Amino acid sequence: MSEVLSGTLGQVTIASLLQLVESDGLTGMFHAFDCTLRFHDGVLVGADFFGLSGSKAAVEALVRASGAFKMVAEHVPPGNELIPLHSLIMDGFHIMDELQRFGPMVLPSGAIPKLLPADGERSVAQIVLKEKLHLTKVIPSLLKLQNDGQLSPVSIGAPIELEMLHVVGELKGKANTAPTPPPKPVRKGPAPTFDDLVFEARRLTRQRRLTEAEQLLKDALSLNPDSRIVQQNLRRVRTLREQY
Amino acid sequence: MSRTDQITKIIRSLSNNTPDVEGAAVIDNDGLMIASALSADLDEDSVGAMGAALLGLGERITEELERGSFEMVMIRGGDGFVILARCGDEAVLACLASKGAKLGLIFLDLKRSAKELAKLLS
Repeated sequence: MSEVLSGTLGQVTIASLLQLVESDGLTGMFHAFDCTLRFHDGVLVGADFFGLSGSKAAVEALVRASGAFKMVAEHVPPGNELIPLHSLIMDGFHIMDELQRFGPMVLPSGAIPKLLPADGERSVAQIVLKEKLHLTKVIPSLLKLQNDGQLSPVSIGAPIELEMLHVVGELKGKANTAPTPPPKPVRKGPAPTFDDLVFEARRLTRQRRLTEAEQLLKDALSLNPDSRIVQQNLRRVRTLREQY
Repeated sequence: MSRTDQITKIIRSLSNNTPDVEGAAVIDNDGLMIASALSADLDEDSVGAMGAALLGLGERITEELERGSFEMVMIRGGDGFVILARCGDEAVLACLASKGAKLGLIFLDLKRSAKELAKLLS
């Protein structure tokens, strides 16, 4: 077994690393603290993180894995793709987006009794951190409550720092004490085209993932600043954001 | 040719080759323009928003009045027509026609264009 990649998450993002693994068709195990992702020919075929397995573990890892990482080349049998990489990255961004929105909320006791021990004092982010909850379960439940008109926060605190949700290392009390080598250069896959960006933005708009849609439209405009269609799309998405 | 270019080509062809068609656009269900062959003096924001509103109303009406799934809506004004036709599940083809337009021919070309567009958008 040989180590093909290593470094520290934070200096390089897990999304960039996964794109490198996919574009280079690597086979092996990706390890970060409490996170194991299994790849065969660049395809994600297994994931375990923080007590979860499968695609939810992969999404959770994308948002929360921290600390030292390494990718080890070893035999991983072929299998069904857990979740396409672009979907994994989009789902991860979606969770982070919604967490920015819901994280500062203080919910009344019994808001989501079985999933989130709200007590009218701690924010959602504080409870997730303290109780070691899974964002891939908490966020969809909060979204459902909101869509049903049943989300009534007691108060809304200061915006959260996403770094606070890198809970695993903090809770287990482990720190990166060993000196880490400098991160290896990360190569990204082929850049999306203007068309890719615009059509993906419209797809995200249909799903009401408006922040992500807005970003993709801005990226599209950076490729073609004179596109009146994309300028209209961006204005429309911003209007929809105000409504939602 | 990109997908956007192909869509634009179809609606430009509709606009240029069908008599009495003064412009066309493809708008998605949320009011985002996908392609436009409308005159420059029309406000794209308004066209997109009105298209989405008309589509939403048309779908609601056909559903409530049990007329099946929404296919087309036509508005007649003193100076011409606005016609919206479904092209796939996620978009409509909007067409502006002049006052004396031969609607039968326009409906035929609209239907053909909508079918081609639906394939590109699926």
